[in-house]
Amino acid sequence: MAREVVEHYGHEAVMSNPVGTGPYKIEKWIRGSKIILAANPDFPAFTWDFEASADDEADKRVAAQMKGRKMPQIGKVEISIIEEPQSTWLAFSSKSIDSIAVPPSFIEKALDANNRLLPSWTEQHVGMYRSVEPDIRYQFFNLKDPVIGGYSKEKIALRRAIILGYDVDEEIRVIRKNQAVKAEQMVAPVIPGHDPNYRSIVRYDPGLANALLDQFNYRKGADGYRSMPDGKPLVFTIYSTTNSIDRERDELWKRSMDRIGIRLEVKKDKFPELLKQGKQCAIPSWALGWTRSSESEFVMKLLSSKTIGQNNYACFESKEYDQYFEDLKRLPDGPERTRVLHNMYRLMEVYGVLGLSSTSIATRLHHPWVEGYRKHPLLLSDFHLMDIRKR
Amino acid sequence: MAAYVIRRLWQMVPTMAGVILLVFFLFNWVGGDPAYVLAGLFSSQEQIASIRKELGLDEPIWVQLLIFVKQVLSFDFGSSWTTGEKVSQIFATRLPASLTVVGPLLIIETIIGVVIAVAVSWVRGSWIDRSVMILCTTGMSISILVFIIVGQYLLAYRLNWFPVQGWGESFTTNLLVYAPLPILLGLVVSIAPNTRLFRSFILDEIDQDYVRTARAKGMNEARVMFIHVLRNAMIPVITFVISNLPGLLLGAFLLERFFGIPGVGREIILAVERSDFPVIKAVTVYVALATMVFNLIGDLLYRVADPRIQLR
Repeated sequence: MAREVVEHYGHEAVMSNPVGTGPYKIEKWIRGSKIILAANPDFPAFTWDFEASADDEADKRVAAQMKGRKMPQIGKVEISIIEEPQSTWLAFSSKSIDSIAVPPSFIEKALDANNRLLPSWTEQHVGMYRSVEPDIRYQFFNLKDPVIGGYSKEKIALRRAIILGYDVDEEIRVIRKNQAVKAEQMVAPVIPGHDPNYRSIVRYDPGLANALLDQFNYRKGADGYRSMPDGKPLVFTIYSTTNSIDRERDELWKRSMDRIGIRLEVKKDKFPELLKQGKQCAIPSWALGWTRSSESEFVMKLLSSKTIGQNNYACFESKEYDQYFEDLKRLPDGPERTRVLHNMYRLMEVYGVLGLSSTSIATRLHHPWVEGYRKHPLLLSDFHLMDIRKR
Repeated sequence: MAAYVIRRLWQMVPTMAGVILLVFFLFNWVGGDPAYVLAGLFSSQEQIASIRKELGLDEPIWVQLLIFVKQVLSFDFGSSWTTGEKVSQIFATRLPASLTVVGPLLIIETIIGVVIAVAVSWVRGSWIDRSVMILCTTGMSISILVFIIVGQYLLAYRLNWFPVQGWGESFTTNLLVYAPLPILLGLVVSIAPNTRLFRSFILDEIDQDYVRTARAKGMNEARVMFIHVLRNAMIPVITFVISNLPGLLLGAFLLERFFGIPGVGREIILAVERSDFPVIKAVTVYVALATMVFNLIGDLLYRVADPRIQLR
């Protein structure tokens, strides 16, 4: 975006006055309800000429269907902002909208247990596109917290036991309704730097967590809960918001910690307050997410000591990590950079700084009159690559 | 009458001053810091400080209070802290959608509530009266969410009588196409408590001495009910309806959310979640003002309902 645009509209209004050279212009914007886009007449037309992946039949069908068409074809796009999952689902089912990202709570209405589209939809020739999203979710552990923080062996063991004891698999299965995969590394799929072959050393293993806690003298009392090695009570505190997913995760955390004898306290607050306290290193542990960063450097900055007070909510300080981070910034994509990333992941795992949970899988459905439907992994607006047939 | 209205308007000043102080200090005490929301996850203390300065949050508390008072007096609450949209623009664009649903809903629910209440009061104690009261109690025990979820699924999706959700640009289309189902579901929810309440207002009147006298004079039951009882029972009905008006706008947020109506209720909930103080301030002041004005209108309507009432 041109600098003059930002200067003209100012910090607050620049996002609501988009200026650019893209394929669509905003025709109308009813905030919180609808965005209507109209094709930009000044956008240069192009011919759809993309190659399909050799091993993807659906890609081949799309390429055969779309090849040679002058783009963009769609003159007007209406984006409906529907907050309630039921309303989204029923609007698609009643054919009043052309395509949706299936709300997680309605996934069972679209897919069978093997994540295949249900016959009731295939009979209607509804198309499906599933993709692993460029996001990760994680739980950070504050290294400055008086209970779980610190760099001594027993504190590291405590954090690692907590991470080992949290049932990520149940979170994916129950809370995420199997629409997520376990995150193995900080850099999300699709993002440059992601290594599909990297495997984290952290797995859900309550037996190992219990053994680790026993070894470092976190002894269980008569009530089944452990105390600190010096005999003081051990209470692990997590913070969360009041949304429904957080409530479900709170319960899972409670069950998981009970299994390893750690007493859990959950504190609720509003998002702005959590951000404020997090930046002051005052939150022992909180779940956060990260999505659509275009480069691995952005996400790896989360643990750089220079970003304490900004986004290093774990308040992690490691000269070794900082050095790797400097190397990461300097190196081009390649095996050496990948090695640096692996070293950073290992440090994070060894110190028990972040517990990675999952990366989401999005299921998008479209009615048969939508042609060329393929979701761009990063771009939110890709309507100029599709077409729509008259019903 | 004019002197009464002027006196009532004058009395609004201290009430509004109380509202201003309460809102200001409550928000500063319990509200979150919006600078952190605006700055986002990746932000430095310098960026947060810069946003706080931009929003005037670094000014002394009394300066912030003075700015608030000035905003109330000028009805210019500035821009939303989270979207940058002018607060006046938010109300100008969202209020019509809310009123399209809430206006007809209020009129219809009051008329239907009064009609049913009169009908069951007429046959009070009978099986019809008892059945209606049981139905009302059952209806009141069911959450509004159930009515909305089932109503949307059954009436819009299954039977295709209404659109599942949506909102257009023309008032007529919205009123005739998109608003009927939310209005219908709002009615189903409100009719039960209204009927019970209005029935009790009528029954309070029905055993009064003046009713017995009217009957003793040989007046027929219809005249007793519609001319004498209903006129007196209308005073608490007016009080109830008028005092519910401002709250109805906020209470319709669930209907707005499920049916994709870009109304003001939804904006208010979002503003509270995001600690968007300019919007919260404007809403509180508008609602306080609307409550006082509607109360005044209600008092004036008492005189219309019963000319014996003297406004002093």
